Amino acid sequence: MGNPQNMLIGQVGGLHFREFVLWCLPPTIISLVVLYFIILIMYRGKWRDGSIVLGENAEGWPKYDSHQSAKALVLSTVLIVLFFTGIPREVSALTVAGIIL
Amino acid sequence: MTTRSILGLVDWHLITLFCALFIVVQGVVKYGIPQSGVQFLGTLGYDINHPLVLSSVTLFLSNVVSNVPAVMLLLKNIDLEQTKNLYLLALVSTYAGNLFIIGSIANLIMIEQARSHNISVSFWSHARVGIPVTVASILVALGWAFLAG
Repeated sequence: MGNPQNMLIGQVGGLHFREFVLWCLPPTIISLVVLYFIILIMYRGKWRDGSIVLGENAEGWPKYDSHQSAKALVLSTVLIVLFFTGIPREVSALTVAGIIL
Repeated sequence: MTTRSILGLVDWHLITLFCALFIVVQGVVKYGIPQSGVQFLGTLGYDINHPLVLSSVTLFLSNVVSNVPAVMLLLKNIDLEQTKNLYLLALVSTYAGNLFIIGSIANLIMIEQARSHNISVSFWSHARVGIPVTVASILVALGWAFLAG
């Protein structure tokens, strides 16, 4: 569910959300830790470059809106909980999308 | 900020890109190219449903056509009853997307975003990190697949 190709695999293969997460979580966590150190070692001492200044485009961002953010957080949480139930995922996703609209 | 204006922030170009991708992939499938590829592998003695073969093909295909189309093509040609293979396909296709920039559309999105901050990421500067990262993560995935069965 985390990215498009997993969504395809989940739908076509009729996979269960919970079993998928349980199986894929350990290698994902190990990889994340390993990759963190690979990147850390490869870029040692190169993080503070100084030639690149971020944040200059920050004004382009929409202002923080607590009402909309809260709505998104609550509904995302509800959706993830629904994924763990037996309700078909596409039904859950469309229902939550319908509530937002 | 209303829901309507938030919807306006959605990257519709990207959604169009995905739609076009699905159409192209469907065309390739109709033409029978993936099926004959799997048959050819079969004549060489490589079964697409073997975890190692599946992972290698996924890694290769993902970096030719990027990982979402690669998965779409593979799903039509593998045994969907072998749940563990599907888990492995999900992991390997995701990790394979890190090898080269073209491995995943997410990379293209990231590079476009970086460009708007005046940061340019070249093919090789990405690959320099992408190659060790992909090798390490796929080894972890395969190791886990053999351990967990």
